[in-house]
Amino acid sequence: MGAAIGRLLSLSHRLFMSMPEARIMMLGLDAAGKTTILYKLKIGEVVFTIPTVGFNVETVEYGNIRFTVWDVGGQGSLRPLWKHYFHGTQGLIFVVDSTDRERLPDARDELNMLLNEEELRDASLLVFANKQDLPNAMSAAEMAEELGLQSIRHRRWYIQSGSATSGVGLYEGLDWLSTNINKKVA
Amino acid sequence: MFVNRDAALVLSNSVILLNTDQHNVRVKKKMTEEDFIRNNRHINGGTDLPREFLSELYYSICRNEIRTIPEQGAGRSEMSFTRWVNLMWKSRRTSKYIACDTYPFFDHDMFSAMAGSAVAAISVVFDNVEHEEVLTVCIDGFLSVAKLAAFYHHANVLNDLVVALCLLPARFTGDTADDQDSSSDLLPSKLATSAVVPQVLPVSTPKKSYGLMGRFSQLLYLDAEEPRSQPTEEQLAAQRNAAETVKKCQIGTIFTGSKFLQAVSLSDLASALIQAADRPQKITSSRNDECTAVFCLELLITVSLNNIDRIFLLRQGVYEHIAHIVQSTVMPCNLVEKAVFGLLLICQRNECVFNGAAPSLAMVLRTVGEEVKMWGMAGAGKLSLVAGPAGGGVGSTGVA
Repeated sequence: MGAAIGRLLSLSHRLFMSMPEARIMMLGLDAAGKTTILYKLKIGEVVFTIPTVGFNVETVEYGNIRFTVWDVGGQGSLRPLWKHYFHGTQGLIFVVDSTDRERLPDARDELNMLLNEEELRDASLLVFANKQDLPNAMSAAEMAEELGLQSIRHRRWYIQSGSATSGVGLYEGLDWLSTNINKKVA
Repeated sequence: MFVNRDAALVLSNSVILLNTDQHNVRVKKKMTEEDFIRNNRHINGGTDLPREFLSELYYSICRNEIRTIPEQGAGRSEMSFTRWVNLMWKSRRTSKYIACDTYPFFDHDMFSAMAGSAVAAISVVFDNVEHEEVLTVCIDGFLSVAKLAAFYHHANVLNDLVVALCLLPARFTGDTADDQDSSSDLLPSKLATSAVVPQVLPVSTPKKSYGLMGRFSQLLYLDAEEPRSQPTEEQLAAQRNAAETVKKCQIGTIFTGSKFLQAVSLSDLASALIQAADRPQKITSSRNDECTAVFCLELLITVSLNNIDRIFLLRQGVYEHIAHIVQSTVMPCNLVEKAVFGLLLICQRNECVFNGAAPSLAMVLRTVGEEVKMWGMAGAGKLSLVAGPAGGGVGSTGVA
């Protein structure tokens, strides 16, 4: 029922308002490629990135939606600090390094903890299997298995493979997000 | 105060977070003091840090942003991505130059300090790049330096610029590279040493001349260079402009003022003129080349006449050049006439100054006389008229 009302609301918003906004959190282990994705989306160029201190936030307009993407770095022990920004998040982009088999279990644990966050309860989940252009990259199916995505309940999720440096898959991911989040109009 | 290391780590990250939150323009809803204190709940091993401490931290960060860019430009500076992106966007919107609204108290001194380096830097680029656009930018740069120098009445900078420009095409032709070292501090001597003006004059050489002076010389020969199609109004205006500009440059003073040149420079100037006059004849003998040859010859004669008191510096070269012209030209033409006439002028002036010594000159005259006779037999009547007032050795031309 709530979902139906939400959909109705979003439909009416889409009909009557010009530019809906979506609050997106981009998370993932360090060096997964979050910042590179953010700036590839923002300026269409690959910027040389260093480990993020603090966070990056940019608005990206795609389709008819204005995405506010929060790129928050840092280890899991600091996640409590991010909670302040989780409020009102409609979409969660979880970025995973497809070549980092060793830390895939860490990524799974991190993701599970995020999905248990109360503030992220309503957020749709897009898993971005990054660095597909590198040799030895795992397939999306393999990663979905390893990350335990099949066991996720009560949440829309999708795994998109691609590469932040080439831009492959980025907009497909945003396409999925834009049709699977409850948009809110600014 | 901290019960463990984790507490310090979390708090420091919390402060960084707050710093970004407060000072990143893209964060619309800023963290309040309450938010900050709430965010740091239980971080000290499950307990809270003193509220006053957190509150003080909060306001301190709000007032003073932590910047990772060093105040003094020592080594590398750190740029956040947002800053980079902002800068990139800004650079697309703003004009090429960032206007500085300080009063120009130091402009004069700054220009004096940097003009030399600027010219040197542009010269290096100019010398090494073949890309037309870059060359245009370089020329703009040279012009800017010249304008600034003129504005500040910086004659030295202007002089140095001209010298630098003169040295540039010399590198293209690579002929007088050795001579540059021997040049003195006097501007005209330097000019003459590199002697680029005549060197690049024959613009009809197969390789396009990229030098500034090369282009300049194209202007000198604008009429000849133009294709025979009908020029438009604009082109005519441009031609007039160019001609006037060239006139204003008073290039002639290099030659008429050549008596002030040092000996080395004078010889170089003469040999450069001779070289410039000779070169095109080897390729074709069009009307264009004859013009070049005549032009160079006239300059050479001017230089010679102006330096008659030290003609010994030039005698050999001038003699050989004129003899070459007279001997090698197949058809009677303007050039030969001028050559003979010029030689006689020099000769006469020489006689006046030195009371007729130089035995080699007599030899020249004999040669010329024989040549003229040959020409006369071939039917070149006008030659005799030219040679007529010579007196001296050429008087024996028989054909009237």
